[in-house]
Amino acid sequence: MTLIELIKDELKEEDKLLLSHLDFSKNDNEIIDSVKLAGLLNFDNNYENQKTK
Amino acid sequence: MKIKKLSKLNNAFSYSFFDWDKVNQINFNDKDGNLKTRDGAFVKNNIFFAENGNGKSKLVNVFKSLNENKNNIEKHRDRAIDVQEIEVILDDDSEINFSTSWSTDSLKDKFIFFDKHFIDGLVHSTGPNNIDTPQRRQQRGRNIVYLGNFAEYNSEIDRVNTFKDTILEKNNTFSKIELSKIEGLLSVGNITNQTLLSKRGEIEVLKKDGLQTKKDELVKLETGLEKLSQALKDKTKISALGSLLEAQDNFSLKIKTIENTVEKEVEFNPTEFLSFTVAKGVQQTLHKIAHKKDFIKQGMEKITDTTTQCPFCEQKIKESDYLQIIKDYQEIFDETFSREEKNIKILLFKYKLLLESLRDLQTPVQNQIFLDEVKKFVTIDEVLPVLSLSEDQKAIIKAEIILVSSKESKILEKVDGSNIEKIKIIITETTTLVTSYNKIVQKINPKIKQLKDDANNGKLETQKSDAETAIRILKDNIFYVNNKEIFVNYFKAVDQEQENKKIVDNLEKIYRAMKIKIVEEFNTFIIDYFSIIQDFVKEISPSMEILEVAGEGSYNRNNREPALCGFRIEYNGQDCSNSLSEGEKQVIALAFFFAHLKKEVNKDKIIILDDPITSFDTGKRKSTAELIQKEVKDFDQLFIFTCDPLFREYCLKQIEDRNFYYIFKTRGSSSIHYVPKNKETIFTSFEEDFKEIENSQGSNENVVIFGQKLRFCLETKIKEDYFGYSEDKLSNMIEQVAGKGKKKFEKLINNKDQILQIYSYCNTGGLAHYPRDGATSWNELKDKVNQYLSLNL
Repeated sequence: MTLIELIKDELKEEDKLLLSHLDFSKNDNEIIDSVKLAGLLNFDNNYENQKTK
Repeated sequence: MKIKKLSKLNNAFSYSFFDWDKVNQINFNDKDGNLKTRDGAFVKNNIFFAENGNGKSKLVNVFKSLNENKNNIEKHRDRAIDVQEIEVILDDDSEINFSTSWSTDSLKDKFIFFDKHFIDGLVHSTGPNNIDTPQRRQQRGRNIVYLGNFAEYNSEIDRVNTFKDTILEKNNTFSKIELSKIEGLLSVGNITNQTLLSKRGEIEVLKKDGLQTKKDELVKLETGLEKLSQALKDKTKISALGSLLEAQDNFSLKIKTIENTVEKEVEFNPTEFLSFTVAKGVQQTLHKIAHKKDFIKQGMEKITDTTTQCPFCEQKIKESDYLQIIKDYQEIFDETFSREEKNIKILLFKYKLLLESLRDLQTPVQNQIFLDEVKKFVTIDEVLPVLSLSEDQKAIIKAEIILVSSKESKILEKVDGSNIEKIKIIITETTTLVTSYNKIVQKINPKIKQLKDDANNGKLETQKSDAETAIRILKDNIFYVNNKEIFVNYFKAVDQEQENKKIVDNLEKIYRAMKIKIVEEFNTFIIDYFSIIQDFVKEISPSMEILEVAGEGSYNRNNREPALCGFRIEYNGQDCSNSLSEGEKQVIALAFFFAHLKKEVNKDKIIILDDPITSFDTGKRKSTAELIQKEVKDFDQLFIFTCDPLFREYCLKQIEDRNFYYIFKTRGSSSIHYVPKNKETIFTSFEEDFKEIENSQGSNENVVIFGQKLRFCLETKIKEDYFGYSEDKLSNMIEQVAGKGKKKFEKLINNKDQILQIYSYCNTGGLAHYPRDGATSWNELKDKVNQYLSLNL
């Protein structure tokens, strides 16, 4: 059993959701993509169409 | 998986050239006379014996390199430029090769080692008073973190932490990029990011409608402020400001009359008095008497209804001829006629005046001067209209004036051509214009008064301050409205950044939970772990004066250090770890190692023990050999390396299913020699080889091999067979000397010189492993070997 599995039951639901994406067989960027897909992270500005003064 | 052979060790550490089959493949006849071949391949348990410097630990290094899948195979010191070649054959006959690197990592993490590194690096005390410092741990080496699953747990924690840092960094970058998009605007607006964020609620509800009105308002406020500043500078000029004058607005065709003693206003009609005239005859008469009108008037006053004689020429008035003349004259000098003529003249005069005032209409010159002065100090939005007729209107008025003048000179003649209807329109329009003008004047004058009052009452300063505040608020408002879209987008990005931050916080929570959990797990784990160590300590060394060996586990991630796991040794309640002897330390180290093996879940490992008993007494050597047999049996394979003959013997006796190997260094190259297991002792095996020496080649290599074997047999046989050197108990040693050995001592004493001569030959120059230049020959060696055999020790 992994350490993450050992602590799982002690976490809140939102943390469990995050934990479900932490597949450490993937690299950080792949995990981030997964978390982004779940809508938990966003590093892209979707509000472009800006104008400058 | 097991290792079957190290079939080639070429230019690796002290193994300059070693070919397994060349050394160990031997053909022999079995008891039935059949020719057999044996190659001495590794079995489950393998025991290596070698004196120091022969290549024992170098072989361990080869295994370590396989375990780490590293290319850290040193070249032989005499073959730095030569290629390397290692060939490992596994029990499924697959090969692993090394030239510059290992061909596969199939043996990576496959080994568990016990050696000096384990003792020095991994086994340590937690120190007195449970205080341990990183420096102390550093001095002793790394901490034990690989126990149980804690290496994996550690890397899990590191991954979560690294992942958290990665997200944090990405989020910071995201935040910086988003901020950089509005930095220019913040600079323009002279506001900080914090101020902008504090105004978020206001900005989000702003609307673009009315923006132009706000801009106009701003211009107005700025103009007002400018004027207020000017007013504050020129207060004396303000007190001298005058009011504007209203324009003349009496453009009316009305005239006041008294009718029945009542005064009333009536509108006169220029058409009527312009068309006023008398009969043609009257006009001619008037023309005739133009210069004697008074005279005629006096005469006419003397004529009555009964008058028959002309009062002027005293002739008789012929009724028919003169009656009409008299009548005309009477009409001329009639009172009504006179009054009417006078009235017409008045009307003509008034009408002309009206026309001239229209013609001369203009803005009061003074007003504009006043207004220009006032406007320096206060904003006057009202615009005074220009009081003037159009050119067409002026032409009409001029023509009408000429007409009126004409009428004045010929009052009894009818004058045509009046433009009275147009004049009336002009009067109406002009009246409207002037009224409007005056209304504006009436609006401006109170402002002038107010300005003067404010200047007198010192209110201008307050007004200036209020104006500045209003300008600032309005400017901000316009700025935020203008850039609302950009700011709202930024706010959304800030929200996203906060959402991302929550994930970082959640990861931090997970990270902390993992740290707490690993400490809990670790402390639970080591209690059990150290109770096993305690048991092993007692088993290895029942007499050791250690009352307690307990685990101390801590897990401080503040310095990103791995878990600390050490032991605490107390005697009478006092820590005594610092006063441990090397032997005691090694007992604990070995106990640690056995506990580790016991806890190891994956039994498909190869166990390597490199001289585990260097500081042990006889009893501990024996108990160690017993424990190895007991604790390692479930693992795939075992390799024990020792330079200790006693421990070697214990291992050979205690460990089942074992092969025994002797490592020699010949001609500068280490080599592994299999010792057949049907021989009770090594020297028995070697003696069998000596008997076959005539069938062996007289190579330099064989000179060295046989020379070493001869020395080993001579020394070991005498030590063990005569003196019981390999016995662990004194009673056994005495029994050996007094019993079996007693009969032999005579032989030993009688052949003392020859024995020492052979031994001296083997130790010549202290280099028994090397042929002597020129002097040593295969025949010399064979002679010594045969002498040894003939002694029948």
